[in-house]
Amino acid sequence: MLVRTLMIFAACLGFGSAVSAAEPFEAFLEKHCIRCHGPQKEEGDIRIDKLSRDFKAGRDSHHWAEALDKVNSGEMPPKKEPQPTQKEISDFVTSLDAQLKEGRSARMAARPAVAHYRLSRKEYQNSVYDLLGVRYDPTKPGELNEDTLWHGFERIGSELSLSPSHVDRYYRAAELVLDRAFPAASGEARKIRKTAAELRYNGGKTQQEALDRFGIKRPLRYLLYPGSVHNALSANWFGKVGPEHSGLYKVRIQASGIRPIGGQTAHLSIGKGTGEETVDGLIEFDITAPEDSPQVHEFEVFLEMPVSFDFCVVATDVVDRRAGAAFRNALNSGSYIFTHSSETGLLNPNAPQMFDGKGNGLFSTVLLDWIEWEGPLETDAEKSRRNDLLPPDDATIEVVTEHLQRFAERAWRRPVKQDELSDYLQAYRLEREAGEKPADAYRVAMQGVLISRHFIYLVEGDPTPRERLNDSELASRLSYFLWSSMPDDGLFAAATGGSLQGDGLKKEVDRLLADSKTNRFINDFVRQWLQLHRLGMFPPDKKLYPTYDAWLETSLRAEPVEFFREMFSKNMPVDSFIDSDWTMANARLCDFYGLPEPKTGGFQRVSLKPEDHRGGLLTMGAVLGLTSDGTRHRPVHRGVWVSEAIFAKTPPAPPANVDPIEPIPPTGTKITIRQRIEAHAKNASCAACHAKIDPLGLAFDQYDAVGQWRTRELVPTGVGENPVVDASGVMTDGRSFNDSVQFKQLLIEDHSQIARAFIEHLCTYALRRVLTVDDQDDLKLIEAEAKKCEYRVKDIIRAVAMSDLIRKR
Amino acid sequence: MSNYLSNYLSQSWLLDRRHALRALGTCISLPFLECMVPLRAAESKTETPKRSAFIYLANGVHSLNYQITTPGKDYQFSRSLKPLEKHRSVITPISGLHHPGALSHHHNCISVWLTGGKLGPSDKNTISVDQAMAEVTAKHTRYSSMEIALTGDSLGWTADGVRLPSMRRCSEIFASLFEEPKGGKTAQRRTLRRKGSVLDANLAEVRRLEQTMGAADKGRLDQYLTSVREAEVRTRRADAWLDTPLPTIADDDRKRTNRDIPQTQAGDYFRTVYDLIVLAFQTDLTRVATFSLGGEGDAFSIPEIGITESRHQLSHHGGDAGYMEKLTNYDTFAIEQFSYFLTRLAETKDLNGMPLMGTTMALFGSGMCYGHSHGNANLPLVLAGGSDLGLKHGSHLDFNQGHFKGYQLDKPGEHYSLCSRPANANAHMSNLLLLMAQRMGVETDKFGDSNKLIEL
Repeated sequence: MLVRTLMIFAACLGFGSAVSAAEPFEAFLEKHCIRCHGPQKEEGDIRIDKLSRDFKAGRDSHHWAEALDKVNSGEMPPKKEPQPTQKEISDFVTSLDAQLKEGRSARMAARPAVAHYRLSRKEYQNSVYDLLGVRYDPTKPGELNEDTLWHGFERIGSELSLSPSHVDRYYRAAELVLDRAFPAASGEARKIRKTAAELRYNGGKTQQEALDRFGIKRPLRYLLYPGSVHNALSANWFGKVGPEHSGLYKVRIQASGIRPIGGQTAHLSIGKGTGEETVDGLIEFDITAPEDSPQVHEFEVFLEMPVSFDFCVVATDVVDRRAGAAFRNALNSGSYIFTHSSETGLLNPNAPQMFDGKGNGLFSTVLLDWIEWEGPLETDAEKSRRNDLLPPDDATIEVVTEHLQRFAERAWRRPVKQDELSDYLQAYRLEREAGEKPADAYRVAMQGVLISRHFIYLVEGDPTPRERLNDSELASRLSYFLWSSMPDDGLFAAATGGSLQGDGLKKEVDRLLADSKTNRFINDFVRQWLQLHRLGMFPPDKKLYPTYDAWLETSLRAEPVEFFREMFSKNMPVDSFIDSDWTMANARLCDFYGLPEPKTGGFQRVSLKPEDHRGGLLTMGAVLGLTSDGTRHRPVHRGVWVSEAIFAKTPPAPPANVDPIEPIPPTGTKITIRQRIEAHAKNASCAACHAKIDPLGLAFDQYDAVGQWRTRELVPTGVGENPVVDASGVMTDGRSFNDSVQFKQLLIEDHSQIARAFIEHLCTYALRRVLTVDDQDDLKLIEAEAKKCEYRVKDIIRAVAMSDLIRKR
Repeated sequence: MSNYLSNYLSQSWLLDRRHALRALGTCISLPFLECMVPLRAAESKTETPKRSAFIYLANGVHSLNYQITTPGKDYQFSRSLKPLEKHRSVITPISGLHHPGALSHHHNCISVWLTGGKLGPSDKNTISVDQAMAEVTAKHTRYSSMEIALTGDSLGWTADGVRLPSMRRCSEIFASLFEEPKGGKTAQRRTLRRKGSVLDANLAEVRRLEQTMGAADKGRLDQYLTSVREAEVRTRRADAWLDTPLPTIADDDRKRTNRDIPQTQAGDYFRTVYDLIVLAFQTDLTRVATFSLGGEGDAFSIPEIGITESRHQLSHHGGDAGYMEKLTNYDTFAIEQFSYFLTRLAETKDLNGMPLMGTTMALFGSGMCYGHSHGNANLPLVLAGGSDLGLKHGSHLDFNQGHFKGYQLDKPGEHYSLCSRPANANAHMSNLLLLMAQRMGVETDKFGDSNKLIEL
């Protein structure tokens, strides 16, 4: 994130007053430090007057960091010396911190003549798909290593390093990808449907006889209840199945969902069974279709055959062995028959009933009619990626070379000269000499291309330094920005044809923005910008938050992404990031937020009223949860998050050695976390920073650690009533607010600032590097463009893609 | 890159892979392996094997019930450390150490626990001590080290500050150690040869570019080159080991360890991982192991002793007496399992017929002390074993002594302060890591931010 000059800092957030540069900083050193750490006395062998002021080179940055820490923690100047005022400390700390950060950014942003930016795991996954039509999941255990994050960003070049274990894994990945692209044997696609009668009633012959006796016309249905795991797929349903049948499968399910009064929407999870009551869900969805009008749900999954799966209905109220033994015994018995809630009493007179007299379920259940699996499937587009890639067995070395060149040009995303391939061709020749078949020898050359630095890195620059990207590099930068993957044939052609400028560039950018591959950008960018990886890092306390579960967390994590998708497709102004009278929610989220139950499953736009206490990103459960620690909300963390995500500014880190916060003794009076922080931050050196950070987080004190609305804070220890929450505060510019609603309004008043920060995040993401003061002028140009289109999201993204900055190395 | 490796790679006769390729598959066996041992680092075969294991407990401990208060030989075991009493003569509880780089860095302390590195947005982590040790032991064993983390990340970091991936499931660990490679020796050899070819082609390509760039800043290029090079060395090492059969594992050992244990049975899970480490040491497949019992955010709950909360939740006890009691029980439970490990080390003999305990240093502890407020000082640490490597045990080694007024467990505020701000600013944990590194045969007089060697 960009650390701006102090002027801008001061103007918008008040991190520091309007000091311009070195003078007050040097004055502070002169007044408080140099007498003991200077020419007269060299306390601790530190001569502050002699420390390097060249923060870009960073030679003395460790000494400066120590100085920052000591002043910040109040350790320096020593107690017996004249003490600086809170404002002096604040200015000094802010100024030094900004200089250190700027120096650090400059070092992180440094670009050697030939710069290498490693692809993130997601980008690798997309690239092999777009290159060969192969599905490969790098997040599976044993596959690619996790990416190192920088403030949530997965693709900052200076952070993505390489170790031998990475190389081993890239090698493995390349092997797997080529195995899947060119399998030794491939299995025919097959389709299998299992009905409720087959799944639950062993064909259902005797049960049908019973129905006939009662004159019941409705068909058999399979009643799935929470707390029990049942077979959803057996590999042998297809007959003989081996690894050659691995691939993409379509699964279709017809079912109804029963939601008990006051209970949860029925949620079905399909995956590998992990216990008596749980599965590791590969497919997760809510079923809102009423009993009498079931719906068909369709999903696509990649299956490594042979595999078996189980169903599980997930709800916090399970029919477990302890409380629900009678239910379980009845439901699992061979004589239990289900057709319809109105007929279950008749059919199972002695079993405990799952419905009340009016057809309302007592538990969240799923009524399943059938399930269908079809695969392995391959689209023509996927197959066409592999046309003409392999040379014929009797090919001459020239033909082999041409094939490899064609493959390398697509894989490396640029024109490739034949002599660049000599080492890979040499490997091919050696393999042939070692007795390998032509196809097997050629695989070695292809694998070489796939673990080459040209594939796993975005390579920019030449041994002779240049300042701007060439057209191929620009094409890659654009496509990895907007599609998280390599250029397609059209973009590649535009780059090699030299038409990536002016109208030609605009045409390509508009084409990229209109493609459904922008969904990858939306998923990736929002996750990284908002640091959604932090959600659930500290799992919420089950005792305090009993309704929090994995499906809720998944839904919460998706909300900001879906919200952004809606803003993107409607090209809405950035104001909606801060506040909106709508959000995107699925059934589980509507339930969690207390909104009316939607008619269908899946995410949809729902409207919000003031009394719902939601709107915009900041009051989403995901944001409120990821800034909490699973037990308590953390106002300071929330403040830092707002500062980073919304203002693109990272406040100074806390000093080491702060006094610990002591727990409230059982006999003490209950107080809020806010009151405890305020007591804690009384001393001048703490207050200097906290006065700027804390209000940004305290504004959201009316939301607990998982993001639920409240008016009183639940305090586990101490005596007395739970204290009333106070979400008021004062911004550093003096404007005050009573709660998050007023706080959001204050933010929107200055929406140019929100847009500016959004642009910085987009550029950090697109350029894969930290921004520095040198980027200021370019950013201002983008800002001016953004202003012309009223800060609309898609227009801002277009402005970044079309900017001069994006063409620079 | 390690000294060992750079030394090896600088020997140009090893750099031309194509010559080596021709030799592969014909006459390679152990002698080839020996020729890969760098000349300088060659050791005599009779030397005692040296081993190390590191066990991490997340979120600190409930220090009021953990702290040993008397220094020296006559110390009394605290409530949580009681399970180690039977090993008194072979352990040293250590108080008062800290990592300066971890202070105020909350849960990131796990990242520097074995590195002594600095944390920050642009500070790169440094090599972890287990990996520094592995550089020395790698040439003796089939696998250079094993990294296990039941949840969260591994403890190991490369010299480039890249975190090593970890294994979680017992069956996965077992397979990584004892499973025969697929397709038999010939197929394996072919696989390795092909891998060598692919890596080799890439090396050649990069070297060519490197030459045209001369002395310019090569940035990531160097890292790519070193990494591919070392991957190639490993491929060759694996090839050399193909002719040495894997150790045979007794049926009951196999049955006990080659299975997956649900998280809900933490005790069984912990003990089985310890068994696997013992097996790996006993068969000399590796000499270095790290084992994180769980990450800072998501270490298991332990239902078998009535703990349904995650360890992180318990550590933020907020003064709740019930939570503090459970946290103490959790600490005690984890230490009991560590005690089991020590017992196994004592009763198991290595290939030379010597008890593993004498040749194995085991460090147990956390990068945090007072979890409720993320206090990263006065780290709870216990060093055990390794008497054949010269460690002398039996005392409570206390670096707080002489720097404070004594332990005040009756004044929790005072004690929590001690666990948050180091009383003795010079007592770096890296000093302990340096001691262990040296005893493993790492030739260095500095590790991480060490400032003094600990005598033990």
